[in-house]
Amino acid sequence: MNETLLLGRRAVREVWRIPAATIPALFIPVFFLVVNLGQVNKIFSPLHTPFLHGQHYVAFQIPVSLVFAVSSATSGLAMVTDIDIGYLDKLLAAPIRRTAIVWGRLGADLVRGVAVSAIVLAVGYAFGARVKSGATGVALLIVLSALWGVAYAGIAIAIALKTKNVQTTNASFLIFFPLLFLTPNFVPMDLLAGPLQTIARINPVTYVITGLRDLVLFHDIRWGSLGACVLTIVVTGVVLTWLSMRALATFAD
Amino acid sequence: MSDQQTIEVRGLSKRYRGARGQPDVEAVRGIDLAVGRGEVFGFLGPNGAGKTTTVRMLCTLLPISAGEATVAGVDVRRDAARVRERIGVALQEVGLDPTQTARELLELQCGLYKVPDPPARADELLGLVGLSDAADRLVRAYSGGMKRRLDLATALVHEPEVLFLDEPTTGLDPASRVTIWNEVRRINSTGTTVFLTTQYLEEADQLCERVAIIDDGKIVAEGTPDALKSELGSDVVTVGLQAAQHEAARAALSGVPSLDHITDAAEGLAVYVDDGAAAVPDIVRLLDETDIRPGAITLSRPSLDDVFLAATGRRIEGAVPAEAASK
Repeated sequence: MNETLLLGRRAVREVWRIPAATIPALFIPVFFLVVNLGQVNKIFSPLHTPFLHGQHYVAFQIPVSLVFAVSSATSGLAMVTDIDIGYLDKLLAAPIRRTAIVWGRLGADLVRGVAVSAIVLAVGYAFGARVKSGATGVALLIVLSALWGVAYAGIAIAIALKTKNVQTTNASFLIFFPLLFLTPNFVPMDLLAGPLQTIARINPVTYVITGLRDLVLFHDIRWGSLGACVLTIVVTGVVLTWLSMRALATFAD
Repeated sequence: MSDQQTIEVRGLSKRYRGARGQPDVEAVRGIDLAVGRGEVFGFLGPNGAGKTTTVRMLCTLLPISAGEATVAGVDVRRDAARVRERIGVALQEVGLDPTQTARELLELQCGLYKVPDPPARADELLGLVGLSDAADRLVRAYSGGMKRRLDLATALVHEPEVLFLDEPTTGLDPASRVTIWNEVRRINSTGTTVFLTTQYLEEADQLCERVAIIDDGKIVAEGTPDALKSELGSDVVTVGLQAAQHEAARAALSGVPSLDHITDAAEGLAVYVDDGAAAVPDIVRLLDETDIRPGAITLSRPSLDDVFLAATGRRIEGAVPAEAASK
């Protein structure tokens, strides 16, 4: 079996056997979703809020929860653990491509992302959200959310390899908070105040959320927003994964 | 590299950049080593002497600052990937993922080294290190000794030409230590060259055909344990004394025939003489004449710690002498 698949399988087993590493990352976005709905559901009624396109507010919020749930520092934290226990040394002393060590981790992120996205979507469904683009839309929501998780995981892995420190690696999750909230996450872009709108337009997370949101709100696939979403995921993934590979290549220096 | 040498090192150095405002640290200072094919070679020294840094450079885990090193005939600086195919590594920190079972870890390791039929090889190794019964238990539930044995097994999946063991018995109880020693002997009997670092003097004495002693990044002695000890040329008579008796006893014992020298020992004084058996009655008589009542008097050959003392002027800090290690 290919070394990336072997290391990915090991990382997936690790995720499965340490649910405590995944559950908080799942709990927090679901908690935010429920609290936000409780606060604004009556303000944004489906009948009188044009940007909901006839759906409950939960449908507008569910893409935010999806992105929130998959953007975790879990892989970076697992990498710090591998460094601490000496397992990374064992892998570095093995005759394998070093990039396989990072790809294996990202493979586990993909599996975790699919599972977490499916759970978040199910919660949204229970609160009344419906994916208007149908089964294709559901599949795209799950896959694109999971791929965003993979793309973002590179930052935590890079920080872990550079600092070898749990607290600093955890900060990659904190970096995501402003990225998530400086977007049209509560209301559409045109309702944001001027300066916030400017920031939101240059924030890549905006394009991920908008692309996912259009899949939930509209029957037809909106290729423009979907394309921007995919492009953002690819560019973010290439840049952050390259950073993590580079951090691994210079790990011993 | 000569055909007979599996590891050859010339002028090997490692310099770490100093923290802000601090000078650079030279952890290994231009050492030369040659380890023969099929040998168990001991690399002995106190904590911080440069043992682990040397091993990490030879295992390709740390860039070499200066000098040359070949392992299993391959240049470490130029072809690290081929070195990795030929070596097995069990470092001081037991590198095992606690969330996996022993069988899973071994099969994974077999896969990474492209060993054919990983399940069969994993089974074979689990049997060899006595972990068949615990094979499907998560590693987090293992004792320290079991983890060491499993770590050793993971280093052996591909039958390496050279096995690097960095302090393989540190922190183990005596029974587990002996189990690891037997395993190292068995591995070596199959033709694998073993490069072993240790601060346990008895370990080096028991296992190693040759040793090099490193201190402050430099090799201070090298040879077979017997030859190194013989170079000191003396028997050691250790005399148990109270601290207050040291000065008077040292003066009295300066009259021992065939005396080489006297040093302080943990229990009292260590008296180095050409013929220990003949010197003991004289020692007892001289102490008696000055009204000094000694505690236990023991006669021994010089230890590797004595070799270290002769080379550096001090004992190996934190080292466990032969008697303590074997208790």
